[in-house]
Amino acid sequence: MTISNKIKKLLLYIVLGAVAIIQIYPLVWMILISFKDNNEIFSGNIMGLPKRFLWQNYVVAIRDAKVGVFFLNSVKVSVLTLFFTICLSLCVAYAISRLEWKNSKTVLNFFLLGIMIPSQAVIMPIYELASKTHLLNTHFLLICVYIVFALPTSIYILSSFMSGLPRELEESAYIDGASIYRAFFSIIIPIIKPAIVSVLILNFIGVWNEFMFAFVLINTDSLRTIPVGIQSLVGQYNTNWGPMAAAMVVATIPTVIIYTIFSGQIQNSLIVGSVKG
Amino acid sequence: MRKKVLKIISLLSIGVISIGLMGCSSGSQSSKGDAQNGPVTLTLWDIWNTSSDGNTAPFNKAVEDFKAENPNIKLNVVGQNSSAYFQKLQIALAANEGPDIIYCQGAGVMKPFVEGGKFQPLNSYISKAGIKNKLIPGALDNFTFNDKIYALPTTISIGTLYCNKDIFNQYGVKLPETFSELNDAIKTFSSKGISPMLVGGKDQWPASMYYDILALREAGAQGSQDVLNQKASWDQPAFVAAAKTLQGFAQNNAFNASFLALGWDEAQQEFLQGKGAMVFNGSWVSSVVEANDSPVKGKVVAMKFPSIPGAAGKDTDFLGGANDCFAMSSITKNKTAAFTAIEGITQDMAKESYLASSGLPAWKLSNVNSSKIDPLMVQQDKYLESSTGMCLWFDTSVGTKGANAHYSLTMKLLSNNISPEDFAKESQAEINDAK
Amino acid sequence: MKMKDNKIAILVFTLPAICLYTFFLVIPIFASLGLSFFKWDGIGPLFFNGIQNYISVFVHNIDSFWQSAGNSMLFAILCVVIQLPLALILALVLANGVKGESFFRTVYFVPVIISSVIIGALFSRVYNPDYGLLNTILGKIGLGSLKRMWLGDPKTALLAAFVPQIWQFIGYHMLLMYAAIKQVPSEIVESAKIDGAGSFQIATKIKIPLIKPMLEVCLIFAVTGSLKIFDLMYVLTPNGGPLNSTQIPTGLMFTELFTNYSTGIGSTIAVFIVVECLIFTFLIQKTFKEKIV
Repeated sequence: MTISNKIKKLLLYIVLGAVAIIQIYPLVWMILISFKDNNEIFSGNIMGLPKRFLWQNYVVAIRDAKVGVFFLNSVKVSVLTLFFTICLSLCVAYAISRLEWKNSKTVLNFFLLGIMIPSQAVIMPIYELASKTHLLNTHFLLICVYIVFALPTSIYILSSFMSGLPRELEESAYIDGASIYRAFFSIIIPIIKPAIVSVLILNFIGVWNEFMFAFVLINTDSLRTIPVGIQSLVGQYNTNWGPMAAAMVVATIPTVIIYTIFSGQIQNSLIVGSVKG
Repeated sequence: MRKKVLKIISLLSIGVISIGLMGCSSGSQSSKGDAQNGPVTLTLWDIWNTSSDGNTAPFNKAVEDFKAENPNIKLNVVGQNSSAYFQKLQIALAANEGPDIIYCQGAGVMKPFVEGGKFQPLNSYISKAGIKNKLIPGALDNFTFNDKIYALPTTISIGTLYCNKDIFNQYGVKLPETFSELNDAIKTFSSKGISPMLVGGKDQWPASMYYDILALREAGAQGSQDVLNQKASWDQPAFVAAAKTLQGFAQNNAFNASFLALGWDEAQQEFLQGKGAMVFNGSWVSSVVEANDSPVKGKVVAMKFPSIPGAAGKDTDFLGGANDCFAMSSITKNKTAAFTAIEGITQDMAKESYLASSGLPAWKLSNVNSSKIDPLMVQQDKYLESSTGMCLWFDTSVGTKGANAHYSLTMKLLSNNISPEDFAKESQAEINDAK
Repeated sequence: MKMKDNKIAILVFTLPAICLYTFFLVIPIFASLGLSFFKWDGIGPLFFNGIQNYISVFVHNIDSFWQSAGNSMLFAILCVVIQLPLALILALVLANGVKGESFFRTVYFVPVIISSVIIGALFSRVYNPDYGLLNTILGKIGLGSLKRMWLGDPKTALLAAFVPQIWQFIGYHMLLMYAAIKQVPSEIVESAKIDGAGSFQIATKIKIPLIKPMLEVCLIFAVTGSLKIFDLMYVLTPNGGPLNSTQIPTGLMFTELFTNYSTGIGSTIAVFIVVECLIFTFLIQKTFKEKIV
């Protein structure tokens, strides 16, 4: 490698590293303040290392914000939402982008409408609907609401990926006598894995951190999710930020883990060699 | 063409059906429990979940005591997030899905719910239980509309000028008992680089409190109440004078330097860190100031905001009053039981909050050992006992919409973007005259 | 492919989603649309109001509505111009293969994961006029005259509030673009390299054109997302900021719905937001001229 290439590479890594520091700082800051008390957080020592490690913040977080119970609820709601969202959106995206029928574009735009809706506007009507159908205060309701909010973006992303795939993929399968369903499961889905993983990640974050609907639609502690627990640490006139940050650290760790595990799946492109030759 | 027409018709009908669903709310009664026979189940919504709130422990104790004394009433207590509580309450009450016992606040905050018929008038229950003389006189004023009483209060908060004794001693300044002493203190502190009075301007409501107390001093308790009850206009000399004084404070560095950019959390912290000499805020600050880890514990004294020479208000008039309360849903099936719960919990919580320094009791307390009470609270209680007039917080009195207008105009005043005269005129237009 | 199979398959694939979506989202949004023609305090009875609400909002400009609409459109433009190119560059660099690709990919995504409350709290500290990071750094490098009361000064609050929001979602778009770039068949890249193309040329002439569909997706998400932004703005500058300078339509809508008890007006603003997003989406789709199907 020539000198100038080496310098270029070094510069590249410096820039990448600087960006990395900026990107990761909030997480680091959050972990730092989870060990401090209000005094330090507000003036004493905003950016630096905590003077004492206040592990009791975590105790308060788990006790007050009931992070333990809520954690399980969040897991349940997220997993179910993700599972059904992926299933439904894969099906719709496939129908829209790979099958040929007259109203396919209308249906896509129908779902696209969902991206444009501000959630605060529909919270009252959804509550009314839920009240009339006796679905209030159930995970079923929350999951359904999350699914329908996740469908537009998921369908849009997946159909975008799918329409970029060459037609020949299914043609060869059809010639061999496979049904549409077969082509769907065995061919398209495996190829589209990076897109599925992206959709999974993005939806997981949206659902895991969602507050407004989780707060309004659920009334029983045994059903509550984490964001509600975290927000409950905001007092009427006073907030202790240390325990709040602690609760958030506990809530954020799974997201980081899931992202780390799954984003690796995006790295591998599977189109190589499937059509040519 | 026909397809398009069909599409439009189906869309319109969906819309009509949706409105229909919204308009006629029948609501579900399933959560309310058995009416007459057997144990009664009541649902209660409150906003005290976290230990950082001074009222949480007192509330929990009050609930425990009530449950112990009333085994035949099953109380389902659901703590809600304080930050979004009223949004959720509005949505729930609109669909008739609210709880039996409802945490609320007085005057303008409560008004939409009262006018919407969601709260039950409690007059008959109150007279039957002979409660009126168990409460501090005037405690029910903020919950009374057209002579109907809709809630029982827990605690009273008053606006207090908290002064850091140590800082005053350090600079040889006298604790202000008159307005000129206050001005002297301000001058001395600002020349020495100490913030005289702390404000969390970014959150807007702490700043509006300074206006409110000045207006109270200028117009007196009755005069201020008349304006807030829309019987008098904001556009009057007293309120203009208060605006002028407030703007003068801002221009003469009576507040912390970056008060426009600091939230209340940060401003309160500055007081706790000894970076400010005084702060005018509600009684709830006491529990934070006297917390075990507070750097200014024991160093703070509660002063009455001085009266303004020549003005109608006395320094024994107080901003604040009974605000936190519990109301009863108008559609609950167990009204008697609900009232028992409301009475029991509010009365007990009044005592427990006083003991915990998070509020002054709205109920007369019999067996409280005043040596156990924090001196800061005892001081404020004495002020309350000898008060000549009360005026509820302006923002609570005018309701949330008026409050927002009040906040914006006060902020404009503080940043020199509006004259005192225009402030008064626009306040009248946007708060009292607006439909 | 038999036509009959096709029709049934289509129904099987789409009907469940359509039903769920219609019930839980479409009906509510139409209810909201309907409510915009009523006067309702959100609690008591409804009163039909015709187009009065629309006149109040658009003609009488209540709450300085058009200023807030302008703010959100400015934000949308800034997002497109700043967020997307940065995301694209990062995605290209990472997808090209650098040492520590997985590490960087994970770290760059972190801000998306962190709750808006924390980001808001962090930036409030950074912007603190007395001891915040920004003013401290400006002072140290001799630019002390540039110090401001960032979130408290009506002249700077809007842009100051935008910065964290633009920054937070760079990773989001980066992830999507990265996934799309990884889909580009490596043979094409290889043969281009053999033909002597440099990384920059490969990026601009091959990769970017091939991920155009995903770029369109990101563009639509960025625009609609920024027109609907709410959480972080609410945390950084509550109540519309100093002198109402940071007010945005979603904030106004929230205020009208839940503070002013004017459900009709709130719904009107909601309709505006939806229509605004529709228009921009349509324009973007037209520009790309590549419809999905």
